[in-house]
Amino acid sequence: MIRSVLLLALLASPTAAQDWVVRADTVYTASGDPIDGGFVKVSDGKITGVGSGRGGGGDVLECAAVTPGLIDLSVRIDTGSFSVEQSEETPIELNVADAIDLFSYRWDRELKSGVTTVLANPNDRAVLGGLGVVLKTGGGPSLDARLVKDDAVLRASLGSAPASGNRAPRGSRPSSFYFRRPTTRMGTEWVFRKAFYDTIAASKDAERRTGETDVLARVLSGELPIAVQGWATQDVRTACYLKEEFGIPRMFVDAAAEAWKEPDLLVRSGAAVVLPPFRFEGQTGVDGAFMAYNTAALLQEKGVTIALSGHGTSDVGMRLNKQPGYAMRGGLSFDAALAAVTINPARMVGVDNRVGSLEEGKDADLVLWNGKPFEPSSSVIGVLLDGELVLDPRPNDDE
Amino acid sequence: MRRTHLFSLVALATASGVVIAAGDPMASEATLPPDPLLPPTASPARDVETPPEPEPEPPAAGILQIRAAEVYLGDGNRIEDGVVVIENGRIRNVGRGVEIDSSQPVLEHDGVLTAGMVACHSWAGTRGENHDSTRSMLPEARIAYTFHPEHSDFANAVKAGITSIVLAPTGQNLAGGKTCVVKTAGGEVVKKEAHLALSFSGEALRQAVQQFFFFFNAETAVDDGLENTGGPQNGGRYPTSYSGSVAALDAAMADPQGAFAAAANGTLPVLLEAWDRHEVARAAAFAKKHGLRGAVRGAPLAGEVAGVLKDAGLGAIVGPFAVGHARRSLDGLADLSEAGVPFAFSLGASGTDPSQVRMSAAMAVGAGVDPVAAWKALSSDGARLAGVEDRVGRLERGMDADLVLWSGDPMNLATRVKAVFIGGELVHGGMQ
Amino acid sequence: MLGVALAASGLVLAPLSFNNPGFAEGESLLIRAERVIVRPGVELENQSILVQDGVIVAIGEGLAPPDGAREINGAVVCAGFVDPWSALGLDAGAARDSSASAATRSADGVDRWSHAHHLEDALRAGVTSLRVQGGGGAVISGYGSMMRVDPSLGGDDALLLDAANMGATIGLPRGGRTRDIFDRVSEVDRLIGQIESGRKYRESAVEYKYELEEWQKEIEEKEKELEKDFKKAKKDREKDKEKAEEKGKEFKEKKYKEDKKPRKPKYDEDSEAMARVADGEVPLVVQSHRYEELRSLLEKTESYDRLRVLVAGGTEALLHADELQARGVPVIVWPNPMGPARGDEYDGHELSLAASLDEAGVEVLIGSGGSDTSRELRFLAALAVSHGLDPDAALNAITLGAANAFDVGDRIGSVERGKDADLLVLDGDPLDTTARIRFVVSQGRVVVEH
Repeated sequence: MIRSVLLLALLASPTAAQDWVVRADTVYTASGDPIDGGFVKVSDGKITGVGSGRGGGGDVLECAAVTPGLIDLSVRIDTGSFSVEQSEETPIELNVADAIDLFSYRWDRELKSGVTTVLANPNDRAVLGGLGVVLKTGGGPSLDARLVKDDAVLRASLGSAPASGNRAPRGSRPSSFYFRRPTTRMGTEWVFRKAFYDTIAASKDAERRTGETDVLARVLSGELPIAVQGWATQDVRTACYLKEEFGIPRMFVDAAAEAWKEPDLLVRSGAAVVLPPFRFEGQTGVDGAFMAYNTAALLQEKGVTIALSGHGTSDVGMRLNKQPGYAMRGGLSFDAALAAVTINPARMVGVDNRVGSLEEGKDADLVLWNGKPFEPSSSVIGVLLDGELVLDPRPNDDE
Repeated sequence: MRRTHLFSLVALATASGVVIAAGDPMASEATLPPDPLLPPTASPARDVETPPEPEPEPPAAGILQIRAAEVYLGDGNRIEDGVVVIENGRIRNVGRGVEIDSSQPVLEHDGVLTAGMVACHSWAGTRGENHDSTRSMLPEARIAYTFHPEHSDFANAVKAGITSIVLAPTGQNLAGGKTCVVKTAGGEVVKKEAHLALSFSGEALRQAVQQFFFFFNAETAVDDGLENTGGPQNGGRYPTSYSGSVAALDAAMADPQGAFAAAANGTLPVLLEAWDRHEVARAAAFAKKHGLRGAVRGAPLAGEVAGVLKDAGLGAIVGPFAVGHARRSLDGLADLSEAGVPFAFSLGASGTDPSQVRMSAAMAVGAGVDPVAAWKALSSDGARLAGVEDRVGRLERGMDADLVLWSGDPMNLATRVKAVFIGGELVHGGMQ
Repeated sequence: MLGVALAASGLVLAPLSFNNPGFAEGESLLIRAERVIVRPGVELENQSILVQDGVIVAIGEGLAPPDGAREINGAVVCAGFVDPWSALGLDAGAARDSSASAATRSADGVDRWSHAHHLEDALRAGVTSLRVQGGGGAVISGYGSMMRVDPSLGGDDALLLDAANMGATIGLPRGGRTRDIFDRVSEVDRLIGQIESGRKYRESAVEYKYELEEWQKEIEEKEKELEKDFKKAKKDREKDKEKAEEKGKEFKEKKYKEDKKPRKPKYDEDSEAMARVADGEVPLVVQSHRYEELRSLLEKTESYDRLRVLVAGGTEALLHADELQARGVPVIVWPNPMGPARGDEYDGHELSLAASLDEAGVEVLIGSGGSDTSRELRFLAALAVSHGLDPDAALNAITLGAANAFDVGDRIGSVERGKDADLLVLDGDPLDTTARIRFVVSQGRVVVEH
């Protein structure tokens, strides 16, 4: 038994997706060169055509620029400590799907700012926290209606997060699970390695197979990617070394603020990186991490695959739709910045068959802008999700 | 004392066919329970499992007839100049044209007669005893043995016209045990195991972090019905996350034992504590998945997920609503009612003024809930959600003679309780 | 925007007049009802009520509606409810402010726009006016005001009476600390001290006035004398002058000195306010619950014969019923079933308090406890009735009694000729919570209709 799937009845079937023709001064497909004076045709929830010209008749939406819906692999909308199982260090089989609050207003906030697909992870309080799911930020009121990929990623965390709150017993008999959990990076790494050792042992001795080793076996085979949170340099390094030690095929380091210090190791190990939101001060996250302005540009130049993230912030100026702008200010090219919020994250979690670029057959997730995307002076004025217009770019009087 | 009073009542009534004046309920010398602070009386403790001792000197036929200007049958029907005939604690007959036997005592009531109200959830009389913090899963625990029948909570409830109450564990245990239904006077346990109480609330998860100290290794793992929550190193640690709790409960239902088995085969309904909308949705999904019947408890915004509840076939136990209760929650109740989800009211914590139950219903009516539906929530629907609809909640032949005599329509908050009968005995109110 | 929202919610706005703010000038309304509750205990059957320019101009049988009048038919008409103990319109900080003083005016803190939705709810529930009181965390809370609820009235337009009462709180928990009996009773002393200073302040003001008059009279007389002797003095002076000049000496004029003018007492706004309280110009509402401080309060206020006192809360007031009844001190209760009192938090949860007080002859008013839940007032009154309160007394407690206690009973609180048309049209008895309110009329305008 891996976990239970939430099967909720739909409260009301979503309104049938309309057919649209989106005309933009520039179409950024994230799968090739931008198209000047182009269109994207949408029908029945899917993209049915992309090209230059007017795209024919139908219900028209016009804008200065259109991009694919943005994808955030670290949106951090969860039910706090209730989203991660703390009674053990490695609740690997548990899936965050059962802990999602679909009624939270934060989903809509992300959606209206252009983020259409996200990875929902367990909170980072356990070394190996459980499985995450990829879902849309809008749509029907049930997980079924929004799910893009179940069992998408295994979540792990290094650094101080899984060690906080734990303590050594003094004198009296240890009486809670806080005393059994690691208090240092050494201990954290030990838990991680033990879990994988047990998995390797299980592959040789069927008696030792459990539900958890089955999940980790899928990580070792490359079927299931693993996301490892590591803000500080030593955590980025640890993640890379662990990847190499166990030969884990697919890994990305989340919130890798100090990845700019170890680009060569990242390239060598093949780990990808999800960067946390840029902060003006540089100091960010936990463990005294410092993210330089040119982190994204530097990593890109060295050949590390990068994605950007917004952490579901309430700060309008710091959302995912602004992060590529900050990355570009640090030297990243526009194309790389666009990829970092669209096709790169889609590939990292294996949903690029459905989302991440404007190509025929993919889901009709589009973001309409009133200027060049990611510029501080540009805003998201329209959003289509699975072909449904959830943010209307048209002014009120001509509906 | 109760019985003597009934004798004098019978004597008076028989002698003069007297019309019972509406007396001041507060001045009645009827059965007020003894002061809980005094040492218990010498009378032997009541065995709650056996029926009451037979009358030493039964009256002529143990019959009492009550004629009231208006009788609410509890199923939504009302009759004028209705007569209820009580015999040996049960309703022998009820209707409009029921013949009065003038050789038997008759009460005339110029007001409304209804079945006693059912409060579908409470922590009355069980303060400190309804949350066991040593373990999160104790599905076999029974609250029926923990309450003190003479606690003032019950006396207060009687005065407000509540004759049956569901006692429940708090939502701080993942599986808190089995609820029960008791009468508010006399301590009779109508149903020893009414629901299996499970919690989908964050409270249970918080408790797991704070209180369920269960450090162990495999040798000392305790078998508490929780077989497998993910590996040999976990035997007995309690979930701190929603995913963990769903996994734990699913595991308990995978090869159900004891109370879980009874829930799985439909003989024991479930009472699911859930507050946020996503918790209610999660609870409903669990019930639907395992084919469970019962109700969610808490759910101030249940109306906004009415469809989910309806689809899972669950009811909702809400309230009590205090002064200043959010409009959004009250408006949601109207939606719940319209969607056809049965609902009932909770009495809440020990010491809560029981007027709040009827006030909750009045506030619901003020927010647009149909008054008939609101009254049923207090009577027949309440009884059904409590699993005791074969005994209380309606005025019908064979049902327990739990009645309230009101000065007017009970849905009008200004109406007073004139008298309360439980099992045919006058337990509160104004027969001088 | 607000207007659209109000309209959508069932509230209907009629054009306002600038001369008589709030009153529907030039408009007429004729209400026909099977039962008109003029005031609690006085009812008329099958009457029409004619309202013009916002005022009730006639009540009688079969009145003819003037041209253009709107006609409404209903089962029952009664006066709009008046909540005598509310903080609706104040935010939580102002309502519980602990730094208020006697001169603080609750009306200054009212923000009707932010609380429009609560005002709407209250209006829809039949409450047409209320007394708003802030400063609940201070011993002397400052002035409370009588205001109309209608959310379309802004600021001053909504005021029925700006400084309607002085508020005080005695013996309430402060800063969450348990307070012993001496702490609580000493607050009575502080209150009395302030009343006394107010009384003295007024006395000295009156004395000053008297002394000033006296002094002015003296001056006048002196001047008259001067006038009389002037000519003689002038001759004398000229003679002296001539003499001096003859002798070659310098001539000095005799000068007249002014008498010392009485000093005006320094203006102190708090004392000014308390002076009005001491003189009975505004009633004093004391929020208090326990036996000891109530006893102290009654004892120490006895010597002020013009002082008008009301008790708000009064959980243990029944123990002083005789004294309260003899001195005509009304008690404003909050029959709110919120659970048992814990420790020091006596909040009058006893639902039968109103009934017991009324039976003992004490005048009872019913309010919403100084919160923003005026919309529940009708439920609270009904609860009090269900716990024994006489229905007429209950209706009085939320209409005329409340209006009279705060000096606006000549304008609102009953359905009588000459009063402002603040009325409810219901399909049943006002205290029957199953009866729906069909229309709410405020100053002659239909502001709610179902």
